[in-house]
Amino acid sequence: MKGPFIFFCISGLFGIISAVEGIWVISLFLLYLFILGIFKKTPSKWLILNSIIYFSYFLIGDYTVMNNKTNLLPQTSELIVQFSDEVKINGDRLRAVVKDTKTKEKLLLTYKIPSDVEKKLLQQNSLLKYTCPIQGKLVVPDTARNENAFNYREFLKQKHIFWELQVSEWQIGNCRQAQLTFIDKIKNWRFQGITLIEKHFTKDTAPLAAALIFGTRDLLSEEQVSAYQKLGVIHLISISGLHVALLVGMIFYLGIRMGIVREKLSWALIMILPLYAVLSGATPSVNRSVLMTMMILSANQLKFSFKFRSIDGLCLSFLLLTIWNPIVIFDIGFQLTYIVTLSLLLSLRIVSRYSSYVGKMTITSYISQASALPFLLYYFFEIPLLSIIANIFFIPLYSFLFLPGLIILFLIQFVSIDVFQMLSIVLSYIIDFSNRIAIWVSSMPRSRLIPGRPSALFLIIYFGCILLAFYRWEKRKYLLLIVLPWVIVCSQLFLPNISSKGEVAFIDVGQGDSILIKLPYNRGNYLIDTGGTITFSSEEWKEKKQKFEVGQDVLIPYLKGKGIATLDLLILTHGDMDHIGGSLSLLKEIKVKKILMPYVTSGKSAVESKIEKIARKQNIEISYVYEGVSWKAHESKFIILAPSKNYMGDKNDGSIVLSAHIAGVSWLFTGDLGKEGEELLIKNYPNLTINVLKVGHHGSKNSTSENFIRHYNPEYSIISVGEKNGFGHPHPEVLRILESSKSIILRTDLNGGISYKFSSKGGTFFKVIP
Amino acid sequence: MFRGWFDCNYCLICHDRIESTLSWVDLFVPEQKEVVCYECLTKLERIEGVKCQICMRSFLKLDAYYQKGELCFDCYRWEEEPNYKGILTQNYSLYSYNQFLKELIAKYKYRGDYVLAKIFASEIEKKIKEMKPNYIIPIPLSEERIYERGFNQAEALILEAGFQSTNILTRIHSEKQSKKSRTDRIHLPQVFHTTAQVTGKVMIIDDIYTTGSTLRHAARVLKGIGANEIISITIARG
Repeated sequence: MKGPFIFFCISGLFGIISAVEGIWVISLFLLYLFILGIFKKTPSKWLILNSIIYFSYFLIGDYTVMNNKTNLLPQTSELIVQFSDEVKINGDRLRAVVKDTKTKEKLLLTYKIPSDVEKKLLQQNSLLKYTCPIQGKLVVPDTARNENAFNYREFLKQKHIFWELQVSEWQIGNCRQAQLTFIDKIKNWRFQGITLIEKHFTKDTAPLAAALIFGTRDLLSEEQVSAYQKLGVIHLISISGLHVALLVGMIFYLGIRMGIVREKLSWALIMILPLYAVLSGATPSVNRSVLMTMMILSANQLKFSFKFRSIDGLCLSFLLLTIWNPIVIFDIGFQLTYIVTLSLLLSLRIVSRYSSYVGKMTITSYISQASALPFLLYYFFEIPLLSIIANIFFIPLYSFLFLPGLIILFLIQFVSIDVFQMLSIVLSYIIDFSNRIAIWVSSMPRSRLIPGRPSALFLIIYFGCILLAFYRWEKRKYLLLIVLPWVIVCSQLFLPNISSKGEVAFIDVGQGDSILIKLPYNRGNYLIDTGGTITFSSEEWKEKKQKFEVGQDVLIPYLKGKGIATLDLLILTHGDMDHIGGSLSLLKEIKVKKILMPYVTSGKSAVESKIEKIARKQNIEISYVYEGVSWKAHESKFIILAPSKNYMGDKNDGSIVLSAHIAGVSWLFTGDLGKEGEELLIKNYPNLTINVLKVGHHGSKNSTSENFIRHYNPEYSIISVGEKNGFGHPHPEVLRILESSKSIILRTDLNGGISYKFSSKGGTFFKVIP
Repeated sequence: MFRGWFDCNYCLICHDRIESTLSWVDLFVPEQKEVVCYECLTKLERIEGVKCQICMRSFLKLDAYYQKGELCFDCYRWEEEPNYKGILTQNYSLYSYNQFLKELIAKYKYRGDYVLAKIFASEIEKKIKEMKPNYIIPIPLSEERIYERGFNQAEALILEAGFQSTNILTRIHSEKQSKKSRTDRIHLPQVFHTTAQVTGKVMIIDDIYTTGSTLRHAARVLKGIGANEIISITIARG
């Protein structure tokens, strides 16, 4: 048989998925066997072997899933843990993967470093294999709090981690280092290597050197990472198969120049490659390429009577890595490295038709991007348009200049400081230049398409179309079909225009408000407030490199996940940070057509002025609205009930109050409206209907008077409030008032994102956390 | 058992190891024993584009003067002749007769490399299954040629494709076709002879279609003994 391994891989994959998702997946596997037998005319002995593989992987998967559970008691507070090499320090926070010495269970340790001195100590010394008694509490890691959001709990679970250990007491002096194994020593070299880079390299060369030599992105700034991601060249700053191939190539070239025989070099490489995998962080892509290269080199050396192809190596490495840890198949890096490498290897015939270098590069980039398309959309909701051009430009730059250059630079620091400094200046200059280009190009508007996360049906269509496109491309028939995947992207982009589905979503932005109104048939996407992260200035050493900011980290991914690239209206109810702070990053990434702000004459907050400035720069119309302003969008009606024109007074009572009639439901969005404002509403609009009330001011005791609730009697009351917020929101008195009026209370702190989804047939409320 | 996993085949044409790359198409189509490497396969040119509806002559590089509607000038002239009108309804040629194929066929029939018939077997098999003839008849060789070559190249194609060959035509020995002009060929006295009877759809197999006279002469004989429709397959279209 020509390539049995690829079919074994698919069978194994079905086996693992059956173990994780449920045994019903076996029906898909049987369908697959049926197709193999009938259409591909695979002989029955192969079908039997495929079934055996399916069941073996099912059993392995099942065993892993069954055992993937915690053995620790939740109330455990004293532990003796051993550190691994996964330690990250971000500002005054330390996160490390540790192992409980009693149960051998892995935990995620988080520690607030008390002093600058201790931070330096922790930064300069590897914690690997240190065993420390620690007091703290076990906390369940965060789950996803919004639709399509990253589920940290699941992510950790795939790494066999179930608890976050929040340290309360840790005497670093009481730690003892255990015996280091050979592998541990290499891990320590890695630590020392990264420390050396941080110490000696310039600010431009250090992050890239750490990324390309030791496979860590920790030194890279968020701006850089996001620029590379937007350009679709993120794979260049993680160690990938390309790097391994280049390194092997370089060693071969140098070795042969030095007069070493090819055979000896091959064996030497086979020995060194696993060490290199450890040295560079053992990410899935490194493991994949190292394992694959080792197998191919060995096969060549052993001179088999048959030809061992790269694709066989790829498939065997898949079968091996999934035996080791079956649930690694859910890792993004693992999925991408396998799908792209497989597609490229299957396309060798297509690529060989193009003779020019540029032609080959273009085709290769196209194939990588097309095959990764469904994965990119699923995880990142968007696709970079400039990726192919960016790859043609950046791949040679990284492969032939930065990678060898930085390795040489790293080695030279041990030889001659003068040469090091000279070379360092040159490289800094070029890297800085290339970074600037990357950031500049990636910040160009319209450089990405944002179709959002595809539904299961769309995913199936994507995979089908990609297979069909490549099949036809190879057959040289209907060549135009190679653009088929992009046609699907376009149809996904177009879908909202013909969809009768809409929603009103209370996004969980922690302490703050942010409400998305998505009207059916693309008749309007409105966002009321954006949430906002309040930052406190602190000492320099406490400053985090990767800061959490709700606009960037929650709101933008949420909108992208829904495929929203343009907001027709951004309604900013009033100037408080927790309502409008997220706008600053939102305006950078999402196109806003018009901003509504309250028509108030009392002073503006600093954020408000900043937003006005950005809006002016981007030519976004700002409309200052007041009581009586109203508009319609087909059947939906919107009317602003407050503030009165030229309102002066308390900022919260000057919030925009919006009454909306959407899908037969009457909504009242109140911002931070206080009791005084509520009284005014009763006075001015005694006959107003409210089916769903966005409870004012996160349930503060200054809002939601008994009178107000009694008067309007909302069926649903939604409180947008942060989990464990410092203000004591929502106030028990408010909850009592709402309960006594029999209003159904939904809270973002308990339920995560809350969304009313509707279509022409009616709607229901959905909660992310049930 | 494991040996079969990586069977290593050598190309029948260039004798290099066939680098069996696994590609997108291989994922879907049934496995076939590869006899020719990918490079050699690409040198065999299929006849694509607009072509004569009878003889498959490509119109791509043909002067408009030699095109008569859907037919080429040659076939048009054959159809003008009352004796030959409608005698051959459709010829299918696998490849165009380029230099590469010319050498390949020479090696096959003149130098007796019988195994090369396997190169065309799967394509011919596919076509025969598609056309469903009642009889598959090879163009015969004279006794003298058979003695020289040791096998009939047309019959070998049928056998390698896995079908039964109906050898009912015999040939009165004559000069080689390749030494004659077109007029010579058309106005040749009948060179084929038979004593059998056939019915329905009959397929003739030959190695090369040059002017179509051999096939048409054979077809005429077959028509005379009861064939309804006569079609043909050749490796090459000259």
